[in-house]
Amino acid sequence: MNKEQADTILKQLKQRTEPDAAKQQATKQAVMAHWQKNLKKQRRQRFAWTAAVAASVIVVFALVLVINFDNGSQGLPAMYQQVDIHGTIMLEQDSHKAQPMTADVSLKPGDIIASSSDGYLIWHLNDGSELRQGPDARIVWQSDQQIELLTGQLFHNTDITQSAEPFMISTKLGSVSHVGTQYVVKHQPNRLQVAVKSGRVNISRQQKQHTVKGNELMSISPDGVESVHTFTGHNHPMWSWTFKTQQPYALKGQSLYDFVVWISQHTDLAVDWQGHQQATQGVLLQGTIDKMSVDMALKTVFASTDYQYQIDQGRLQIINQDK
Amino acid sequence: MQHKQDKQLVKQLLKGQTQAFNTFFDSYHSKLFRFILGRVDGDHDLAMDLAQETLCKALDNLKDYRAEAALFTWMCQIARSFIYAHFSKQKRRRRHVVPMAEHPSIRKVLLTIADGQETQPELQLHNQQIQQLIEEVLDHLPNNYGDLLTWKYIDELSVAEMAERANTTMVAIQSALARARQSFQQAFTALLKTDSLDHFYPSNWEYEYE
Repeated sequence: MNKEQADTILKQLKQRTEPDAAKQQATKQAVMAHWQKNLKKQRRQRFAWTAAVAASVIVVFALVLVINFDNGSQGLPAMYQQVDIHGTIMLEQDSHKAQPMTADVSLKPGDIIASSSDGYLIWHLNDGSELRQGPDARIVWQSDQQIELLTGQLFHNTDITQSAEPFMISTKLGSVSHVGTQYVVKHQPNRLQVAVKSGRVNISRQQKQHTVKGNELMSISPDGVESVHTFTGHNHPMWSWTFKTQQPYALKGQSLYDFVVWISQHTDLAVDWQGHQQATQGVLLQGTIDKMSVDMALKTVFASTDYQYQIDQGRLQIINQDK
Repeated sequence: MQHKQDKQLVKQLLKGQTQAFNTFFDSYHSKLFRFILGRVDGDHDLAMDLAQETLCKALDNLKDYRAEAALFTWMCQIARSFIYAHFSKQKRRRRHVVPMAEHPSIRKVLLTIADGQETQPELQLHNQQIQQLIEEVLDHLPNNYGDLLTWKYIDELSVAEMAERANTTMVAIQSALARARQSFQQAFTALLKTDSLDHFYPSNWEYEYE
C-alpha cells in the first residue's frame, strides 16, 4: 500500500464517530466521582496498611529486644545454683538504685549484693560448695568462679562437696583462693583477715603468695602481712557468725546425743563423752537455737537437761550433774 | 516495550491529579466508545454504559497496569470482558463471526485498494463497515497519530492550524503527519497480509440475538 492508497482509504472516513456530547459530559462526571471515591478508599486502606505494618514492626522490634535481653541473661553461665536469703538484702543492678533482692532474680556480672545488719545469704555454688555472706557485707559477682568482697565477711565451705572447683574471693588487699577447705574472709577498710578452719588457702597479693593453714588466721594491711596466729574456731569472732547463719537445726524430737554430734561437726570441737553416749540418746530436746552463737546454743540446750558441758582446749566435755 | 507516557499518566492518576484525569478521560472515552460500539451492533447507549464501566474498572485497577501494552490496549481487554459479560447476562448466544477484514465482500474491496484498482462505487458499497475499520485502526495508532490524521482528513485543517492546535511548529507537524501516514499504511498492510484482524481484533467474536 502506498501513500496514495492510504490517502484514498483515509478519505473514506467522512467523520469520526463521537458519543453524544451531553452524555459524554455526564459520563465524565460520573467516572470522576467514582475515581475520587476510589482514591479515598485506597488512601484509607493504605493508611490502615501502613499503620498495621508500623505496629507489626514495633511488635517485632519489641520481641527482638525481649528475646535478646532474655538470651543475654540466659547466655551467661549461671553463677550459682540457688541462694537462700535471710533478712534484708539489697541488690544494685546496672548502676540503678538498690532494690530489695529476691531469690529468683537473675544476676549478672557486676551486680552488687549488700546484706543489712540483720541479713545474710547462703549461696549454693555450682560445684556444690556453700558461700555464706555475713551481715553488713557487700559483694560483687564477677563470674561463677570469682567474687569481689567490697566489705564484710564471707564464709566458704568446700568440705561439703566432693568436686570443689577453684573459687576466688578478691579484695583490694589481695585475692583468696581455696584448696579444699572451710575458711572465712573478712574485709574491712585497710584490713583483710583470712581465717582457715581446715585445709589450706592461698592468698595472692602484689605478686606474692601466702598460704594459710587450718586454725590459722592471717591479717593483711596495705603495708603487707601483719600477723599469722592460731585460733580456735567455735567462739572466735570471725567464726561465730558462721554458726549463727547455719541452716536452722530442728531441736524438737532430737536427742541430746544428736545435738552434740551435730554441733561438734559444725564447730570442729572434739567430744569427750565421759561415757554418756547411750544415756544422752534418751534425752529428747525441745525449743530452738536459731541465730544463736555456739556458746548460746550449748547453754540453751544443756540448761534444759540434767547434763552440763565444758570446753577445754578444743574439747567438748559432757558432764552429768547428778554425779 | 514500555509505554512511558502511559506509565507517567497512570502515576499521576494514582496520585489523584485532576489534570491527569481530564487527559485520561478526554483521550480514551471516545476511543473506547467507538471500540465498543463496533461490537454491540451499534447500540450507542449500551456503548456509553460499557465505556463508563470500562473506565471505572480501569481506574480501580491502575495499580495493575505495568505498561507492557499501551494503556488503550489494556483498557480494550477490560472492555471486551464487559461486552462478554453483558451478552452473557442477556442470554445471547455467542457465535464466532468472521472479522470484517475477512468478510469476502470487505476483503475484496480492501484488496482492490491494495492493488490500486479500487473504484469509488465499491468503496461506497461498504462505506459503513470500512469507516468503522479505519476508525479502529486510527484509534490504535501510537503517539496520537490517529488525531493528526483525523485533523488532516476529516477536519481538513491546514498544517498551520494543526500546529496551532498541537501547540508546536509547522515543521514538527509535517514530520509527525508523515510518520502518522506511514504508521497507518503499515497497520493496514499488516491487516491485509495476515488474513485476519487479530492484530486489531484479538477476540474474533461478536454476538447475535437468539
